[in-house]
Amino acid sequence: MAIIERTEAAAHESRGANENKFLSFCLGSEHYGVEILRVREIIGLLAVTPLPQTPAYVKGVMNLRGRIIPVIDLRLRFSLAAAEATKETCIVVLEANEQDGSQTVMGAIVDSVREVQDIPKSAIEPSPEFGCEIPLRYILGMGKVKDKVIVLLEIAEVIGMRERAQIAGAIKETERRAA
Amino acid sequence: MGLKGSIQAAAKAAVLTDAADLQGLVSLSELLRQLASDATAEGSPEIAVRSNEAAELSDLIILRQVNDVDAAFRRVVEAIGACETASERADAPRREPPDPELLVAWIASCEGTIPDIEHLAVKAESQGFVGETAAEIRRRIHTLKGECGVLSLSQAQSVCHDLESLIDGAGQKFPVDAVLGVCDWMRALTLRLGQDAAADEPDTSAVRQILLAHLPPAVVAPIAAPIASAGTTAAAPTTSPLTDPFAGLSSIPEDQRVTMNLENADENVGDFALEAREHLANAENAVLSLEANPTDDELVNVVFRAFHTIKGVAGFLNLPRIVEVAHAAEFLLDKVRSHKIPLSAHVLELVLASSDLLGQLIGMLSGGEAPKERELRILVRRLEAACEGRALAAPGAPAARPMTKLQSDEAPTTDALASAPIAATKQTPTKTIATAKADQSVKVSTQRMDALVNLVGELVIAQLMVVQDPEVSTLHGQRVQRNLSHLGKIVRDLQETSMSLRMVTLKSTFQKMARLVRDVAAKAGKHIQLEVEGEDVELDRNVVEEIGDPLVHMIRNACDHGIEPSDERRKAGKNEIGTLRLRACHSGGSIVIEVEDDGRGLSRERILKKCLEKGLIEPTRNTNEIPDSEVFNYVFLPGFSTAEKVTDISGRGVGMDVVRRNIEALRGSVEIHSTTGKGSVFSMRLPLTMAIIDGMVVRVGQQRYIVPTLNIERSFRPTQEQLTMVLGKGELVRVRTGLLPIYRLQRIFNLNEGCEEITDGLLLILEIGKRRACVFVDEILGQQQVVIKNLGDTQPQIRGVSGGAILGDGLVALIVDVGGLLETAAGSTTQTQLI
Repeated sequence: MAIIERTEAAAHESRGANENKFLSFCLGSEHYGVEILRVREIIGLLAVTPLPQTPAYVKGVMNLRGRIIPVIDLRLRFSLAAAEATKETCIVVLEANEQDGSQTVMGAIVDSVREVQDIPKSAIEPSPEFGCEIPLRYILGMGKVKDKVIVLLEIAEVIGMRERAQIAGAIKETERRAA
Repeated sequence: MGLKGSIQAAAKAAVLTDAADLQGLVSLSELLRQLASDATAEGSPEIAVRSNEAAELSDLIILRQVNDVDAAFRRVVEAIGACETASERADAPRREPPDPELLVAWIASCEGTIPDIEHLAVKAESQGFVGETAAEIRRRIHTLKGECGVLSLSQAQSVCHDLESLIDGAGQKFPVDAVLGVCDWMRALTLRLGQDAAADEPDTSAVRQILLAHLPPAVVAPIAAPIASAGTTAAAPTTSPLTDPFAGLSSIPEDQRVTMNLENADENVGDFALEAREHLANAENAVLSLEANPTDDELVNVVFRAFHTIKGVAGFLNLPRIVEVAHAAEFLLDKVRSHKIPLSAHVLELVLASSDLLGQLIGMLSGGEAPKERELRILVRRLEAACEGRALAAPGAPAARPMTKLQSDEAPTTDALASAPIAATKQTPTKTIATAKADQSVKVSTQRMDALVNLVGELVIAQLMVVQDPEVSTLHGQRVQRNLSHLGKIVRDLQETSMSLRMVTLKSTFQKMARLVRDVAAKAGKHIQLEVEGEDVELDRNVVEEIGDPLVHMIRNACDHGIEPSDERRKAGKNEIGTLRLRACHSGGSIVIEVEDDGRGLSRERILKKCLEKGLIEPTRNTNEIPDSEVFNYVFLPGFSTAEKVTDISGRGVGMDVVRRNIEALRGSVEIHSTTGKGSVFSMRLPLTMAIIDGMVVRVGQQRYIVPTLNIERSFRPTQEQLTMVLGKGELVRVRTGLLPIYRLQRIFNLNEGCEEITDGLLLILEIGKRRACVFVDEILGQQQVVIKNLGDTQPQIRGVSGGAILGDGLVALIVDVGGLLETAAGSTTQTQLI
């Protein structure tokens, strides 16, 4: 029920006050942000059931009130070094709308959640070229807040269709190697 | 004119006359005698006897030698009705009443299907000809036809068949009226069958006439004949009173009211009255717009459809007076519609007058005042005259209106008195019956059902958490413990109930198929035996509902095209009796339903030839290199058929399209395996989204997995002597039945934990299909029923895992897909062995 209410509320206010709001979180010393409209909830670290035959960044699946959702480790997703879980480690439950109208829900493990910030469009700059190290399509832009720069993520790209295709690709790869 | 024509002429004459109309009775009696002699000539003794009786009776009425003229006349009408049914019965071989359970299910499903088709038809009309919508309508009708076939509703089947042909040949102009006409007729049929499973199918002549109007000339010829003759005979009585348009009407007393026999009225008249009022309102609106815009053909159609619908429904509710007026108005509108007569102000006036009169007649159903008999007759005559292009003014028309008022002040006529209380008492039972029906089953959206099941799941977990809470477990008060265990029991019951809401076995679906096989085999003149396996597999209710259609098509195809006729089978050295296997099982992370036949198999060459014809394959491609799977997949394309002739069972190329669409809608897939000469297997793979399985919870290290109990033959702790190592890698265990390979779950799932020594753990002998193997786990924790959930939308299928289940502590355990697991494991061991 809470979920439905929230989505309704989100729909109601969408493109309104919440449009420029971003949830910022940390991965190591780096600050990242996601649109608050894409965040369903934040929960503490729970036991996650590992999945075989998936890339290392797929930590497994967990039970979100009766629904099983996949959980990824954002550190590993962005090829950062793995870290021990701390008191602050938590799971951000993100949702993205697929092109076919369905909704993808996925948990993302982050080191810690910071705050919800207003970042007006004017304060968002397109991401500079980093070379091929970091796929640009994951990045919405660079948000400038006070003296910090926050990497704003394109969630649909991080957890959405392409991600799925990639996981599928990774599995095919494993299978091919096995065959 | 043929027997049918005579009967229809008599029926029409009976509708147009009544006991007071002597001239009408004379012509009716003549028609009946004609009918009797026709019937004797054609060897239909029943009709002959009936019509003779009716003729004699009407003679008696003319001579006023009966006490109760009205009752006698009713008997005449009844006799004619009996003749009609007798001739229909002679036309169609007497059908055996279909399986009541199937019928009820079918009627229920029609309640959804027919409005859907109508909706689509209307959509197709408003959007112009839309290929996709038309294809969708055709698919639905095709399915409907198949279902009618199963239920031995031959008339319905042939009506659907004709409609399908019509849509096929329709080209750019989509025959919306025909579709709607058939829908109305089907609705009448389902309503009638709903009350009496053995009821005859309603009269098809009206619906055929609509179909006919749209058919291209070549197709018309065979069906046209009987209806054309019916048309001419129907016209006969209307031409006779040419000399005096209102002949015979003067004998009707000025204040005689229309009577309607509501004693045997249907419970559905209430609904009908409501609907009919709506139709009339629409028609009136359209007529008013027509006055401003007389060239708009669509408006004429709107009016036409309104009257047509009213006529159809009134017809089967047995309300002849309403039919009479609606029919006359419809006939006129049809002439206008086909531009045979111009749309004049006179026509519009008549249409409005008919609408008013119908309004009054419908009002009688709910106890309203009856219109005057003479008014009704005059209107019908005027409508008929207008059909011939003559405008008849109503005699003394202005006097008609104020009379109603006057009449109500006086004592109401006995007829009105009689009909009012009947109608009133009828109202109450209608309502109670409706509520009783609604109580039997409720349609609930699956979303809500899912939400409920999920919430209950959470409740179970929350309850466990409370009970197991260390603080609560220190409470030793008897009352607390008793209440907690009471709570636990209720929660468990609640869980079971909520689960059972969604789960049904495939039994009824498979039973339906057994009947289908029998019928199709009989129709095709083949011997086919059906073997059914796994009908106890439980499936989500909505999945079961959805697989009915595809199954029907697959089985029909298998019986009609797959399995050869006996003599051909004998020549091929096969058992003369064809075998069809219907199988359901949990497998590969899904539920697989297979239809296997031992017939001739799919013909690669024919499919390829058709593909090349249709330009689906590049002509430059080497057809020998195209894999079977791709070739067979073309079969699923809409309109793809290699059948040389279209039978009423299959061959249009619609069926497989239905199959694929329905299955894809369930996020399943369908595959074909076929060997020429040996037979083919169609397997549907359906997701398990909400299926429940009995599972064994096993542990490997810290991880728990669920292995379907169905696949576990037994489990045991092996001794060192039973184990053998092959090439230092492959492990084998000797069991009573021989040697089995050992697969370690921890290795297949790449776990870094769990027992290493086989003798410290347990071996499960797993079996799926023909494959058997041992899987090594640390221990068995217990057995429980689990709800299978998919692992989030983003996860691709993982081999060896069919889904996840939430265990009592709220954690997720993966469900092992035994088929996939053994395959993966076997694959990797062959590899290790090779290295």
